[in-house]
Amino acid sequence: MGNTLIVGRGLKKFFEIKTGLFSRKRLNVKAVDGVDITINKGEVVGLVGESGCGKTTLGRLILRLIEPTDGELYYNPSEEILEKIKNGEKISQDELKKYSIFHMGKNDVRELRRHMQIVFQDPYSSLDPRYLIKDIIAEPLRSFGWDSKDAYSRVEELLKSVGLGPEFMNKFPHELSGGQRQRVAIARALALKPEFVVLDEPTSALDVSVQAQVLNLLDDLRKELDLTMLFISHHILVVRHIADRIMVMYLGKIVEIAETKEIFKNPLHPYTQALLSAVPVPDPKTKRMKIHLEGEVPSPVNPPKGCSFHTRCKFAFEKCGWTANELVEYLRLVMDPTRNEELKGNILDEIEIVSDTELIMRFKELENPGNIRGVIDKEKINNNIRAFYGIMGIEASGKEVKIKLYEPKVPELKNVGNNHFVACFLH
Amino acid sequence: MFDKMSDSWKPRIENFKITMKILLKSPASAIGLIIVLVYFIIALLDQVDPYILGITTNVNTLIPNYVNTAPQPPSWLTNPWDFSLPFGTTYPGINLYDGIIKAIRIDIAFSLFVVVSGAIIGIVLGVFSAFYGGWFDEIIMRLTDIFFSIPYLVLVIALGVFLGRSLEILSIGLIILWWPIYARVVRGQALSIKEQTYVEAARASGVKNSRIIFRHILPNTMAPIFVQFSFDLATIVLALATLYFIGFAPSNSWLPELGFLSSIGYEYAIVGDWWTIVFPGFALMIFALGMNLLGDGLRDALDPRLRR
Ligand SMILES: Nc1ncnc2c1ncn2[C@@H]1O[C@H](COP(=O)(O)OP(=O)(O)OP(=O)(O)O)[C@@H](O)[C@H]1O
Ligand code: SF4
Ligand SMILES: [Mg+2]
Repeated sequence: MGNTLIVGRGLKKFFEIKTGLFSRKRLNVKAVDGVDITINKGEVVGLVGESGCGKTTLGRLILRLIEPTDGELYYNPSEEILEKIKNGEKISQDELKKYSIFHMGKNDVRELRRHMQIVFQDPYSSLDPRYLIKDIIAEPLRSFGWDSKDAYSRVEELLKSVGLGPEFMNKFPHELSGGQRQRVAIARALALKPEFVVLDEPTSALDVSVQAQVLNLLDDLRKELDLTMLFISHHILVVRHIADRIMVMYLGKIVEIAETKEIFKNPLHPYTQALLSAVPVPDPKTKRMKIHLEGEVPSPVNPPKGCSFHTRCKFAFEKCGWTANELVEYLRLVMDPTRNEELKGNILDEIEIVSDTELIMRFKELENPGNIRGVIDKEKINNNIRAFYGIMGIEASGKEVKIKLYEPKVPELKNVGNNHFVACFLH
Repeated sequence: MFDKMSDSWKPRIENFKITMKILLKSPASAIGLIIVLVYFIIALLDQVDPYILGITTNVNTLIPNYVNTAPQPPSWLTNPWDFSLPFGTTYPGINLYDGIIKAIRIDIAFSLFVVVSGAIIGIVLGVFSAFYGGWFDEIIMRLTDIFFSIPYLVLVIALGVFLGRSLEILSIGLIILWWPIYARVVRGQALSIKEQTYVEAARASGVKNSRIIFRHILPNTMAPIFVQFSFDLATIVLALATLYFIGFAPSNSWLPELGFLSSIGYEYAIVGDWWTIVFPGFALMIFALGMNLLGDGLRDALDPRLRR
């Protein structure tokens, strides 16, 4: 038996959405967009990233609670399969049917539920309001054939292990507080003695004072039951104490993976650095703590080209994947002769986007083509207009100025030593 | 062991008490509940033992009295202490008290049969439609569209003309027309319940689809069904009465039925024998009113936003 419990390769999940009420056009939300994941036995992996970056979707994908768009996922793979994955060998259809969760039959997937469980983000919607607590916790037991008597005595045990007394057996979820509900959800997830549990922000919906208690409970249970966990959180400090390794996710992709100590000591990806320096602030709407980074999260329907973080990255440079449409507004602004005297006599007419890497500025009058490059460089430095780093060349001919950009490339996750992986052109 | 049983009933009884408390808080729905209870008790007593209600004949038809066919006024009009004919008689010598009590039982039974059958068909089709979606959903929804666009009187009359005018055919016609509303209501609810995390949690617990549908989704769609149910019980009674009133009755009948009694009384009422229409008419109206008041009350009492 190997040491690897879960291996996912090329995981993708796109949600199809309709654009308008009457429109037939469909768009894809790229919630998870090509993720590789490996989780070892007994390990706790933290998955962090801002709201909407696809953490929950990835968690649900690993349990096949939603149907994947692409990718393969193996639970407890044999040495042979691991070897094939490592060497990039082709895995036959028969082997896929037998070992990949995404190719298995319905009954085999159901059988795996004994071993893989999940605690959901929102304890207010994850418990059926019409069920008594004892029946909620007994449900996984019943569905795998336990009789009522055995199931209920196991439920009592489970309640005790999550710190709730037997008096909770005959209550309805609405009689419980958020923290108590989440304990019930944890008890349900542990009922079948699973090997692997996904914890989807188990504390983010709870009051701050209760969060620590639930985290400690999970830490204790993990040690006691020797659990392997994927611990999801939008806040990196939450997973600091429980996680052995941390994966940082941005817009459906993993941008950095390293051991917890390493990532706190030596965060390499600019996004990770931003997450670490962000101070959580209370969100007045939900009364919970939220981290807030500068800039807006781009839409996962149409993520930025190249490195998808380049729209917000403080270090973004030439190669980071700038596209023509990102330059247009800035060019209009700086080509104004009242802003930059050097350009006196130039009257900009229109800007045409030819392709992602090329655009043309057409002038009504163009008396000073030679100064354009200088103005762009000056503005880039003085006003930190990072989009201008994307400019590869400027050519003037007649009353037209052609601007060429670097070809956008996506940074790959690279091992920089110490099992520290990062997807950024700086490293 | 017995203790354990009663323990798990306690919270359920608690829940029922909350429903009743909210229901009884509004005087209108309290009145509705009382009216409905009285009618159902009358119907039940008439079924179990009509002698309790002072009815001496145990048959399912109206009993004419051809010796004295002219309508007679209620007996207490001439002698305040004489209740031998509390509602008078209608043509041909039918004792209205007798007739109305029997009619209440028959009308309620008929209505319950139609609505329960329609609801079961609609609920099952609706929940499967929502759960599985796809072509099945598409077919069911187009079917409901078709049935919604046919006026019920037209369809029932058409069925009657082709298949004969019996009570059975009438009930089948009404069931065919009444399941779509339940399919729609349940489907709408089930579509949103299906997206709830607790349904996903059940799947993650290894629960099979059939159990997810019948134990998690269905029970959570029931609140608006109860409301619809109480409105429809009244509507079907009114529909049956309308059919009798316009003369589209099962042809052979002396069946005790409130619409039928009213339609007999109609001719006599306009020449001054008011009781021939007032008593059966009011019996019908008050039942419909009670059911509707109760339905409105249930809508509030079962609304999760109003329960704590
Ligand atoms: N069923 C769905 N249909 C369409 N879009 C979806 C669906 N589920 C998720 N998404 C979209 O996919 C993206 C990722 O969502 P996901 O819930 O995985 O994010 P998350 O990282 O868990 O965020 P949060 O911290 O808010 O829970 C979001 O843009 C979300 O709107
Ligand atoms: S590749 Fe690195 S430097 Fe460039 S935008 Fe992305 S994170 Fe920033
Ligand atoms: Mg989430």
